[in-house]
Amino acid sequence: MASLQLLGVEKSYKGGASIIKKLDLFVEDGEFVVLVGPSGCGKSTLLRMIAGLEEVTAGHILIGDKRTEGLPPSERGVAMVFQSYALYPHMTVAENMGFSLKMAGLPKPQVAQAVERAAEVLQITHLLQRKPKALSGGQRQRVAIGRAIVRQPSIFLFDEPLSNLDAALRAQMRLELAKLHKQLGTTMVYVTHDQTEAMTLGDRIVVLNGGHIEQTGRPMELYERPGNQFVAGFIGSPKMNFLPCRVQASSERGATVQIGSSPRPLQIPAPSGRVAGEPVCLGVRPEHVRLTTPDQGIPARVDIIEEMGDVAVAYLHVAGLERHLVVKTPSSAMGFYEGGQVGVAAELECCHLFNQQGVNLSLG
Amino acid sequence: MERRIILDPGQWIAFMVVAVGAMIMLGPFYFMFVFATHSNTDILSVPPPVWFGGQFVANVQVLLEKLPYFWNNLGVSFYVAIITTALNLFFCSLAGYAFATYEFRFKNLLFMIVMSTLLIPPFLGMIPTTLIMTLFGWMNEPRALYLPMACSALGVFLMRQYISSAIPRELLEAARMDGCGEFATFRHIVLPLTGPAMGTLGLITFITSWNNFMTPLVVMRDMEMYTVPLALRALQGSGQVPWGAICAGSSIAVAPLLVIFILASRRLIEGMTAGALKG
Ligand SMILES: Nc1ncnc2c1ncn2[C@@H]1O[C@H](COP(=O)(O)OP(=O)(O)OP(=O)(O)O)[C@@H](O)[C@H]1O
Ligand SMILES: [Mg+2]
Repeated sequence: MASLQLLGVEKSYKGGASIIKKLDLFVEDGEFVVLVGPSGCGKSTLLRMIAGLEEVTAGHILIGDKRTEGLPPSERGVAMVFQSYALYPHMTVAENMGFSLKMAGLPKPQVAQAVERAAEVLQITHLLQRKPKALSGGQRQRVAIGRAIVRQPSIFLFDEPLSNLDAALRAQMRLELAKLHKQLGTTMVYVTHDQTEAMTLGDRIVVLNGGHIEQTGRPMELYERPGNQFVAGFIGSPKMNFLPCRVQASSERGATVQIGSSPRPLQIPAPSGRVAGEPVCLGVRPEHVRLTTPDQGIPARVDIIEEMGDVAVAYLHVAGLERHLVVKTPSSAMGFYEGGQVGVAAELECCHLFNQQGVNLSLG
Repeated sequence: MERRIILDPGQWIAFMVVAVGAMIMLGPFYFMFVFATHSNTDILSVPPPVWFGGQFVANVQVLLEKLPYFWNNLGVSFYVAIITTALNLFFCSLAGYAFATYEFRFKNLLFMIVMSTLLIPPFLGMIPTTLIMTLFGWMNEPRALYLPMACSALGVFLMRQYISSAIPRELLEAARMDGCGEFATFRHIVLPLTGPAMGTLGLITFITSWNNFMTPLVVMRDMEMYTVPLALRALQGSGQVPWGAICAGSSIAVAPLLVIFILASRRLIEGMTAGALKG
């Protein structure tokens, strides 16, 4: 087990733009850190640099207290689970899992024992003699994780390990990964696109964008107090509503803004000092918008309703707004229909104001 | 369930064309075997025999009389073909692996140079080959045949294509994470997974070497060291051409290829297409 430190890490490809820009990150021993970010932002690249599969252009990566420059992947004490599983097709499950130990020159009985133990943890003992092509997706995933466990690494790296599974299996494997982390207590760095995985698995989430860190924090911290508009939009599903508006007045109690052409201005809690007329962006999550009757709140028309069973997501048209306002409410609270008129009220203490640079003003 | 295949006129025509083509291709082959079992007078009579006769042993006797080293020649052919094949598999798979997975300077240029050697007509190499082999003192030795053929451009190309399409990058990276060095990755991961392509390349190389006429012609001086095609050609030298014996010799020469081909033809075709299908 070990901590992980990235100090001013940079990456650029020959003749290409820089992919990772001066990145600092400290991962504590035993921590489960989730990397999220839009496609192409460099998550895989970062992971592969930690693994030693990719050269670091500048900066240092420390695993434990050890500098990793020039250290081959197998000597870093890290194990990686690839998105495609990357199981060796010509080897049985047992051979796949024991391969690293075999290469390290361990005697056969010891390899077999280690494989056996890992297989028990993952409940794949009955699959040990099969070839990967005779396994289901979920089983392959387990074998890939098993192959990582067998090496007893000090850091696990996961690159979107569950993205090839169907929803039910994904939920199951998610739970097992959480259990595994509890059981092993090993440092884990996990890349994902999936909101749920990020929120539920991570002790901490790191939001990457264009090769730099936008924000890091506990999942609920990022959800409740996003530092900027990018993070606010990235964490949470459906996505946060962003409503462009202007500050009408600013006081101790917050800033008053007008939504669309609504006659009822909203007062958002924000540090004073906003200038009247300043263009801002109001951010409110779909789950923090309430629907009322048209005579209360901001008038809106229901365009589309997506019924999810427990909740319903409604897309509202508000006069003066270009985009739909998305609302998520419990299905039981549905008193509206497509084409109907409703009123919209927001939980003001959950709203955020972003300035033109995207900085969250509400945090103060 | 029985199902009759009904051909429409277009298909009939296509079928006939293919059938006639196959006859034309297989005809000489068939007559080689037939003539191998007839005496020279039978063969030269009009009309020629169309079915097997009983003169095969006699023909082989004539063959051995005229070519006392025939079994030797067969041995040389085998020896050269096997070593050429082994060398080709080794070097082409390594080179193909490098071209498929490594990034290095002048990679594309080097690959183009390799491929462009395919454009050079083989007989252009005759005189240089003779000169070089004389210089090395390798004339009349099998190594003069297998060393120049040890790595073929076609083989490098085939292996590169196969490896780059059948072996994903993550697999090689997984091997690196598991502690494989460059050669261990090649040995433990790449080699076992290139079986079909290796089979194809091995077969092609063996056949090419077995049938090679030009290079032995310039480097082999003694009858003893001739390969089979060369030895058979020598029968046509003087006096009356012993067609029966030539056909008997050719039949013997072709037999190993036939056996290999029958055993491996499915694999050969798989190897040609598998890389493309797996994607
Ligand atoms: N070998 C390479 N040469 C040049 N650019 C590359 C190379 N490999 C990756 N890139 C670029 O680096 C950027 C980051 O790629 P990376 O795979 O890390 O993204 P990612 O965040 O993992 O995306 P995704 O979520 O789609 O997996 C991309 O813009 C990609 O085009
Ligand atoms: Mg990626």
